[in-house]
Amino acid sequence: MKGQINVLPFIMIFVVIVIGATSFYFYTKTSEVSIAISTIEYDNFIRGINQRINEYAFSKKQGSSESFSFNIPKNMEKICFIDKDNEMNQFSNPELDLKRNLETDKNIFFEPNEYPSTKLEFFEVSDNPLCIKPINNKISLKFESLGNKTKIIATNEKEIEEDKCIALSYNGDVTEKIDVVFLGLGYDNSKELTNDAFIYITNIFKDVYPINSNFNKFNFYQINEPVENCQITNYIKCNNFEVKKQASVCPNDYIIILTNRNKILNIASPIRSSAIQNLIKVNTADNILVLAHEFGHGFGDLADEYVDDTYYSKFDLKVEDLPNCDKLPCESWDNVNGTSCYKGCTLSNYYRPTKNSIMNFYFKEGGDIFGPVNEQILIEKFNLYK
Amino acid sequence: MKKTLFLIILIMFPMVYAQPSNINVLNIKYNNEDIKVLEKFNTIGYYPDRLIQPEEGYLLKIMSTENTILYSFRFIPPVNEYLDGWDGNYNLGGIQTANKFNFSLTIPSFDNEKELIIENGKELTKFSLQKEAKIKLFAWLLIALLIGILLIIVKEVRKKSTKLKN
Repeated sequence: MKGQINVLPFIMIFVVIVIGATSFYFYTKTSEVSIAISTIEYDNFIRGINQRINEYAFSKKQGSSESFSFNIPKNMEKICFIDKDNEMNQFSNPELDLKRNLETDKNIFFEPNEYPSTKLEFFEVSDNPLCIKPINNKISLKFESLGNKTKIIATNEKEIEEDKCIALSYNGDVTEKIDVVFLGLGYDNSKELTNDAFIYITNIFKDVYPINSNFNKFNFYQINEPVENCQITNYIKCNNFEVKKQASVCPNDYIIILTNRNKILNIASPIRSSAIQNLIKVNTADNILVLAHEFGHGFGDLADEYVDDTYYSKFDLKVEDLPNCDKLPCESWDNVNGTSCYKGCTLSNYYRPTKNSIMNFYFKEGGDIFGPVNEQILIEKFNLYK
Repeated sequence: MKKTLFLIILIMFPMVYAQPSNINVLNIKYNNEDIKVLEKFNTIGYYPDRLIQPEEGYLLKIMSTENTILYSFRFIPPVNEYLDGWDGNYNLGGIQTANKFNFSLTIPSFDNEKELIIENGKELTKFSLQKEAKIKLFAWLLIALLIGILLIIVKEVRKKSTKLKN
């Protein structure tokens, strides 16, 4: 019959709405119950930890210790204990550092952030900060009595979260210093990377003028997580985006990737170190001064003082863009003592200020210094930092 | 509530404290002076202080929702990679120049950021930094999907009722 309203579509729409609303109601209620359970588990965990700390600080004999397992809420991903009275790694983890700076009165922090940070007293930690990732919603902690304090030690190594960023040498505010972060490629463990990083810090940054006289303008850091997005061909080729993502957990004005290479293997198949702006990649089997050379490129924007006509002549290289090269009669360094006008600087028709330098054949005699012109250029840039 | 407060403080952090802060790591495509931002990775971390900048080069500006500049710096895409080495006899040094490559920049992130603009004399590219852009798109897609389902139901029911009438 014409004009008769077909009610079936409206019934169907109504049914869909009712089903949707019911599903939403049950979802909300389930979530509420789940939150309530998590809150109870969180409260129990804090109470349990506090009880053990007080027990081992005041009731147990000094030196006595015992391990305990704690249940923690299902979705809790990480618990970090901080001992604010003792020295700690200031750059362990950006998220934690941020929370620590915002909630200065707290010393136990959680991930995700829905769990409130809290403060407990009378404890020390074995590593500061001590961050633990639960396994199967449990964590194991050892409590050791120190007299009027309790030392908290993680017992399961698999639960301990390594610091994302470690300060190797810290001289001050990251906004005023040159922050250099070391990453490792091909290292078996982070300790080997630390050893190599200190070799370069000692022999380049503390030893080569004018970097050494500006050493207090540097902060050095290390990232333990190995670099995974680099390929080794005849040089170290990295995915710039992935490396920068990884480096962002530490202050990173300059990023140095140390590639652990066997010296003998390197003779058979040499790979080249390189610099691409603030990313420096070093083959550890290479002469140690290669880092100073690459730093000259990356920090000072210095050009190569050796000649590679076959390659460089393909490009329209202007001498004005090569701060340490000039045309005859080398007016750029006219008034600089200890300089001359030597033929060959990137291109054979350009001239360099010294016979040899770090920016030239750093592996040959006389190649262990930057030379007066390069030093002046570097010092001007160092003067921008405090 | 606690989570919301933390997020608010976190978003405001770049303006209050030096670091660490909310940052964006950008993946950028360079093709013969043409530049395009491919993606961003938002995280908490550190960005370079950029005390040393080229006098000339590309200018990156982070614009606010009020169209003011929140942060800017000059940069030169890493066209040249210096390669160095010594095999005991020969210098293996040289330069590798590329006209087409991807590179990355780490920049601060602000609560009221709208987009970033990269220019080199003229505007080359824009990239939205707004977090809700994806959520908005998702919401519209969901609404469109629901309307689509309802229309199909109505059509099917009408078809059935017409058949019944016949």
